[in-house]
Amino acid sequence: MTPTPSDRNDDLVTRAVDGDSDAFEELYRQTVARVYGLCLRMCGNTSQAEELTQEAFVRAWQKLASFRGDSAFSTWMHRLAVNVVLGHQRSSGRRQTRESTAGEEWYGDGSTRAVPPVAAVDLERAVAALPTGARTVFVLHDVEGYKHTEIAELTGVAVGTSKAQLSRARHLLRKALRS
Amino acid sequence: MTRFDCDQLLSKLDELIDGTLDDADVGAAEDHLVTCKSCRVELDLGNELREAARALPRSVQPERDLWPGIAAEIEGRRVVHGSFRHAAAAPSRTWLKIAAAVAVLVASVTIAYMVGLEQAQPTIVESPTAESDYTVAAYGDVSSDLENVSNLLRAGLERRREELSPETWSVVMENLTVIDGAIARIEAAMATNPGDVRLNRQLATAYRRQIDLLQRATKLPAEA
Repeated sequence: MTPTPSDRNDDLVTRAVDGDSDAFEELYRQTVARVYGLCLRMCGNTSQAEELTQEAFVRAWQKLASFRGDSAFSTWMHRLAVNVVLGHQRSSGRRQTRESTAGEEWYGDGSTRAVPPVAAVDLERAVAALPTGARTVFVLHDVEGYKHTEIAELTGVAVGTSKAQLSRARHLLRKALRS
Repeated sequence: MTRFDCDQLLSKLDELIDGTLDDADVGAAEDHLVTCKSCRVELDLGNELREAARALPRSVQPERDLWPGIAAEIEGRRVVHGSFRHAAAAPSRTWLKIAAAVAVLVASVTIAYMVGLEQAQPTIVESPTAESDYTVAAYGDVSSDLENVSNLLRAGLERRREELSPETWSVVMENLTVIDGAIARIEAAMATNPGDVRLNRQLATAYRRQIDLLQRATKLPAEA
């Protein structure tokens, strides 16, 4: 019987847990675009997104033994990357009050999907320029599809706060896209 | 049922967009929207925004290959992590043994690979792809950066020479020489196999080990 992608990944994870960095590299190649896309949108800055992506994979390597296979590796990796970005935001939030300089740095080309009413380029730029808290909740909820209860759990805020941040983000985005 | 005013509608706009508004409020909102153009515009834009966000591509390829940095990090941690943890508190002989072990490891891994490479040379015909070229270029950047760091640390260690005992100094230098030898062998092999990703990875790893050794050597308490 031909191995399924899931079987293949199980094998890669097993080998990676045993210290096989080639297997881990293959897992990295399979998931890096998804992880980087998440990091990029959550932090709105390419160089920081690269650093956070690398950190996420290094942390994954360290924590591989705790991966039980209850979910797909990509799902586990995605959640781990969210935690890495949030951890970074918490620590950098203590050091700086400046929310974001991101709008001018990256806004993607959005070339893979056509979004006629709101241009993807404009949206990416506007999202990147949002304040950190609002951007985080907007990306997790409206782009990544997390529920408010999940976001509250991940970020350590109340569900009401998550909703308020989403409302703020959408308000700012409507304002930005209208102008 | 009461009809919403603009403030009430805007306060419920997100729930309306997400479809989580209760039926009574939906009716009140719809009644308001019939007569209020500005709120209709807000709702339309909100819906468009939600659709556009859902349509954004989830995957974005980074502009450069991030693996070399990850590989250097995890390779470094796999061998050295933990072994050196107590080095600063207990320098001298224990530390020196560990330093020697690292140097020997670097050398032996390198030599093993080099021997394998030489033996397998007739069958290794790896045509460089765009991706491998890119990977090699990225390793080249990493190795160059690591070499610079290594040189800076070496200069810093040199300034501490008088503070370290001759025995410690001698062992550190011997180990650095071993690693230097390994680096030289890898670079020589790279001259004939510039596209070999494994060699580039080995080089980055060797520099990483050297930096670990130098970092710990420069942090040793003064002995002399």
